[in-house]
Amino acid sequence: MSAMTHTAEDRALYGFWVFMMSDLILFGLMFATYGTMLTTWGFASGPEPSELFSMGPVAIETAILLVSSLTFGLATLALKHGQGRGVIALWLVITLALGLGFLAMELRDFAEMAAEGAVPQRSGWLSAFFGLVSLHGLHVAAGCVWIMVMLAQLAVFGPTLDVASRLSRLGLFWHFLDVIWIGIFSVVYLGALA
Amino acid sequence: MTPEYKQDLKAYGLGFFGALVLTALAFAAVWAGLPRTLALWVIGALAIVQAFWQMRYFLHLSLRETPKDRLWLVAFALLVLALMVLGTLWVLFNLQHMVPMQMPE
Repeated sequence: MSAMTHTAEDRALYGFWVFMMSDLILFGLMFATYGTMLTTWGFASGPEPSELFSMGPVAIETAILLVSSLTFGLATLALKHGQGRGVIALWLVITLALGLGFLAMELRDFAEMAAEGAVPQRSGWLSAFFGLVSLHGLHVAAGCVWIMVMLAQLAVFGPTLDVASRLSRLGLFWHFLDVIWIGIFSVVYLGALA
Repeated sequence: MTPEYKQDLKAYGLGFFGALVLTALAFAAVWAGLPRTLALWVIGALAIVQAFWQMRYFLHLSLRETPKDRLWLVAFALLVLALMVLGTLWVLFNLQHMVPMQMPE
């Protein structure tokens, strides 16, 4: 790797960290808004968190995301240690499947809530809930699309320097989403069920 | 399997199992039916520990090895995050005590 490429990749990586940290602050403010809505006024006589949430689905969703963080790590290792595009692609496909499974479960949760009248426009708390949790879900959906794009690039170009550099940023993004989820399962779900 | 690969694999494995244990403990605090206030403190502390744990093992942030400019970026973002989140909660919950409000029916 030439010195130029190395510098360019470092710059891209730094830029991506700047994006992630700005995204972190966006999430932080959604969390703060959510916190201010956990009051009688926020619930507006509508359904309350402890009536709507249950431990089972959130435990499974948490496990799926955590395992997907590990499988992405294994894709990163396959790339770093030159195990070939087949192995890299296999771990990426598994990660993608877990991401899609997570989204399917989350959408089912949302549908069940809506069936009980817990829709975003029902109360300030529900607006904040759907704003925060769907924002994370949208990020996961974007991550899934990005994995598909990288699978296509891997198939066409192979694990070239450019592809490897993009995969390393996708990895950061994917792990970052699991860190955000720690906040969501702790504050939103366990905070309501404790 | 080269020694370097084994070492890297071990690091990811440790990161994963550590996160799994920290998550399980948080869920256990709720399942065990701890008193609400205690449970919230336990869950909050475990979440902060796990966030740093995952930053170390999955995002590979390390005080010694990560370039200094990136560490400063993360530290500044965490400072801004803490100020904005704690500031928002502080101000809004103070307002709630000071402004007489009617309970919605």
